[in-house]
Amino acid sequence: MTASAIGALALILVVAPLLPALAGRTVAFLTGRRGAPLLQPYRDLAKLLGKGAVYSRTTTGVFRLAPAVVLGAALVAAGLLPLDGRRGLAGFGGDMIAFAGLLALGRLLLALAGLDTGSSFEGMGASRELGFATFSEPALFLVLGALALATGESSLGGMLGAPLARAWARAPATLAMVGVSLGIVLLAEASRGPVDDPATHLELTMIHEVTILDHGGPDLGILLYGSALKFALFAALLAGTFLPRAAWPAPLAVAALLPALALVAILVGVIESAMARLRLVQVPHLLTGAAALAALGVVLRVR
Amino acid sequence: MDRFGDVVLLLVLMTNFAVLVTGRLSACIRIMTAQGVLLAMLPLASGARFGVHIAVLTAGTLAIKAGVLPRILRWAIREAPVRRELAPSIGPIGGVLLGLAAVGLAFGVATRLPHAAGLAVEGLVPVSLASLMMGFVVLTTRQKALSLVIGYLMLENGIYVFGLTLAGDIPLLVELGVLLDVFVGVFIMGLVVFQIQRELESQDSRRLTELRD
Amino acid sequence: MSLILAAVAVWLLGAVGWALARRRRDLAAAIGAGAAVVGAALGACAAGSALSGREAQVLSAAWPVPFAGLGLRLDALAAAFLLPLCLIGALCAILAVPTRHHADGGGAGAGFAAFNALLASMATVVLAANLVLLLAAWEVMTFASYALVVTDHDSRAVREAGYQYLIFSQLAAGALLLLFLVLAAATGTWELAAVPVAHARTAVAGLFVLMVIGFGTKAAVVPFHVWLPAAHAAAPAHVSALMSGVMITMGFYGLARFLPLLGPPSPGVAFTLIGLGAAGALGAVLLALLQRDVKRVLAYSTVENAGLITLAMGAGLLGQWAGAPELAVLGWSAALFHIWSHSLAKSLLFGGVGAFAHEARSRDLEGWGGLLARWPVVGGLTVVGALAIAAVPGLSGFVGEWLIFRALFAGALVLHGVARAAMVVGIAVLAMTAAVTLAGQARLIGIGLLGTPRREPPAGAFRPPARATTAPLAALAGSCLLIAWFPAPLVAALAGALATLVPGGAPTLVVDAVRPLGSLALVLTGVVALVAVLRGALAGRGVPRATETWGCGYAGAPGRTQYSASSLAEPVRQAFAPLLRTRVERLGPVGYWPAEASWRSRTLDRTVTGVYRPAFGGVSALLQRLRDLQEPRVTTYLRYVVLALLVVLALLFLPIVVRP
Repeated sequence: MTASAIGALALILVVAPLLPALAGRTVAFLTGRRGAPLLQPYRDLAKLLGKGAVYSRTTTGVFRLAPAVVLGAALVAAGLLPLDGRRGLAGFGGDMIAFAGLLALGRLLLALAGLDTGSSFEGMGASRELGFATFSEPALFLVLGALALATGESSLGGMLGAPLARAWARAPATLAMVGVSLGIVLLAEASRGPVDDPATHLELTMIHEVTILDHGGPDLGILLYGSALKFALFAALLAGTFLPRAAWPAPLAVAALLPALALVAILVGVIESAMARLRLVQVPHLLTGAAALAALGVVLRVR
Repeated sequence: MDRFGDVVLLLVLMTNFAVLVTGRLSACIRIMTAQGVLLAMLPLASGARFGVHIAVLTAGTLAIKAGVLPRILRWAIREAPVRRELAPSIGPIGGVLLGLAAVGLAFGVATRLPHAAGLAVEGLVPVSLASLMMGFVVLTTRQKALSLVIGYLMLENGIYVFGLTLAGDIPLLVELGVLLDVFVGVFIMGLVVFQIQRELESQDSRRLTELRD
Repeated sequence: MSLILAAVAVWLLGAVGWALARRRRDLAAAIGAGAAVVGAALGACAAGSALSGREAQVLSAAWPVPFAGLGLRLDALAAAFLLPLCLIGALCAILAVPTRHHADGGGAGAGFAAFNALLASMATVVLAANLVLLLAAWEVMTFASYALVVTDHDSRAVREAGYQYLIFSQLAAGALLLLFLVLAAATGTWELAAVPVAHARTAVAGLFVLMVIGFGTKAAVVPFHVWLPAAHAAAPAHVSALMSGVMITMGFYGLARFLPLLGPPSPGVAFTLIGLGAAGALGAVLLALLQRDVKRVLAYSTVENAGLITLAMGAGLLGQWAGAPELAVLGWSAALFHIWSHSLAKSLLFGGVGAFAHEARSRDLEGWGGLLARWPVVGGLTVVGALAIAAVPGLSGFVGEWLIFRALFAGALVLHGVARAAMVVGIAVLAMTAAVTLAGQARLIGIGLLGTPRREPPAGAFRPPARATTAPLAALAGSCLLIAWFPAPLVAALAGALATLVPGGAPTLVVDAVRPLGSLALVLTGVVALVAVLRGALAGRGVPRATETWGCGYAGAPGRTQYSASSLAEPVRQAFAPLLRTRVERLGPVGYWPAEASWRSRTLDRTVTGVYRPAFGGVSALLQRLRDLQEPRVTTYLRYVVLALLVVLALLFLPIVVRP
């Protein structure tokens, strides 16, 4: 448990809501609009947390528990990730499996909360969220497998730490493919275009936004923050893959996280404005493509 | 396999995957054009000493694989209005999985081949085998005659890559002969596709059985 | 040793004791359940002491059956299987008590007789040191469980399921008989050998196939799982819980005990197990996602977990073959741990879902909904079971799955070539399986217990649950949490069993590996609790308003317009359509004013439609032809007798039959 790990964790917890805002701002810029101010998410969060709660009579305790579990799981997952390029706050051998498991826990509770409302909208969102995870999960694990093979390590701290810099010198092709694949997984997991459309709420084509339709007040605030944090975690994973910072001085490594995250968010915004949203049946194709890329990266490391 | 040539070979593999997932014929032709450009870059990267031999090979490949062949194919789809491969017997996911299996097999087999060692670019043999097999995948899962031409082209490109392993040893004339051979082959196939379209009002190769006596 | 003997004796007494109280159901249930619990307590004590014991406890006595001896041996491996048997056996016996008045409950006297006989026979299976005794106990286990499956024998579907179960069990028993004969011939004794005997390579392959058929059928290894969904759906809830939680582990006990007898592990054996396990897990979990019958959902989930355990065993064997001790230890301990965690979670889930199914008088998921609000306690415990099966962090299932992943990652790093590729493919398949499992459990809970009712439950249902229903479920849920929070002590306790499976392995490696997982689960629980408290403080400031679910202004028929179980699974079904065999019947909507429209899909098990139905059809056609041999004349039969005699005599001239 080092100061830099704590600092990086604090940093990402603070800036997480900025990322969706930055991506949205990029989309607005590219489509000739001005967009919402960058600090708007914080105002939204403050407003939502101050509101009273409204619950559907259909819902049970699962609905009320879900926001806590979603955010709690994301927080613990943040503790596993080596955000300062060295070692997670609580990294251990095999922590990448726990990282994926924690995000899966959040997804499960989100889906259950959606189904708890008894509405078809939320059911639809839950169904899609669960269905697409069937393809993003293997892609994520193939990415992790390729990283493990490229670095010879089996913990996030090793895969994204010092051995990664050496691996870039030895196996750039594998790591480049892994990075692209991870980027696609990010788009799906963080519910961004072309997989999902974060801009609209009540459309039958939406996934994440429609699952949380019935949440309001503090619950919605927690869920929004949780999904922003998930975005930030994947962005940090991506940044860590392309930018091994283990050899940098600790303050610099932590500080570099900020521009790296911003870059990922801007890229996401660019992709979102450049590509039309995929038809829902095509999303598994895209994710299979991501898995194939990572698998190719693995093939190159199979000797 | 991380030098320039290997990166090019990886991109060749990616273009093969792109063909496997796409159903639109014009997109397939564009992808094959890109593959032709990549293949033209390969002789430069194959480690042989640069000279007239390599220069001619590069120029010839570029002209035929990225210039003439795509033009013929584009002419064929213009004349025979077919845009899409309808009803491929496997979807894009199946195509990717078969492609992955082919790549895995190719890399597995390549390590056991006696030739594999001592090449300047070690990816040549596995990528050529993979291209061959992926060409076969296209040939066996698609029905439109034009898709079959594209599969044949993928297959041929695989052979071409394999030929590069011997680029230093084979006389230039033989290589050009091979290139020409393919050119003529595709040319004739283009004509045949056109004829099929005119005779049958369709490009469905399954309907070729109607032509028998 | 005397403890376990006493346990078996108590169980056997319980099996016959009901006869004293046939007329009085309460007394019969008390005797039956009491015997099961007392026996289990005795057995658990014996198993607990043997788990850590270095020396195996042995007992042998004469038994006047040819070749048999009453040889019992209680070593660490046997204890590792005996302990969950006792624990879950006792809890399932308590679960059975409230069903004693139901016609279909199996809690009456005869049901308890079979239940106790099943416990006694399963204990004998793990204890037997003699092949004949093992086979005899195995058959008693089959027949006792068959009797329990057909408890509700008034229903035709139940009788058919039982019949199917019996046929598959007997085919498997035939394979076991053959296996034991060959082993006995090779060793020259009917004692269960402790050390492998050298076999020829082809013989190893044959023996392995016999093991997979014989033990794999009981363990629900794909493609020998076909009996399981039908039998589990037909049996009463506490029986399904016991069969799914404990009885299938008998198959894995057999594999764990007999696979080492094949001699040094071969890659073929390891890869076969890995392939069967991975393919079976993914296939079964897809089918679990697409079932309408809640108990079939759970049954296919059991098949999936059996696949995971098989995969882990294969990984362990691969590690032993390749000389990778880390992989060997991780793989085998993953298998053992997953057997434990799945036993606990699945019996919890079967108990909870079965109780709901009984109250709702329906097993059709499409008719459920909103049941958690009616029965919050049982519902909450069922949700815990579902989360444990979904293998999310914080519950026991995750630790088992984590160990399997960890083994595969370790294998990918240390192995080379094909083996490394197999490990990576295994990782991808396992990840996909995990995601589909999650979707399946979300569907079971979200559609079944949450939302609003799709059909009103019958009047008088969902009265406050009996203590005998909630207490065992609470105990199971508690142990699921406990294992997740403190996995290291359990792994340490399994070290003895691991040492018999991987001689020379270092179990401490796994103990150290899982220790962070316990901390992770505790931290996760703490963080979630903290956020929940904060959220409660924020949300609880005013009076929370209660309204309707937002429905875009449409307020009609909230129950029936909910998302259905089939539609929830539809994206996954479509994506995997080429692998599945689904029958879709659709009707309309037609025209501008469509009157009625319906859509119904039914996904069939490809091993049934593709393998067993044609195979059994072929056999039956063949047997039809043999009918022509029968003729109503005595002379014909006499001719057959003479022919048979001649054939036997001719055999004597063959050199292989008569040994010098």
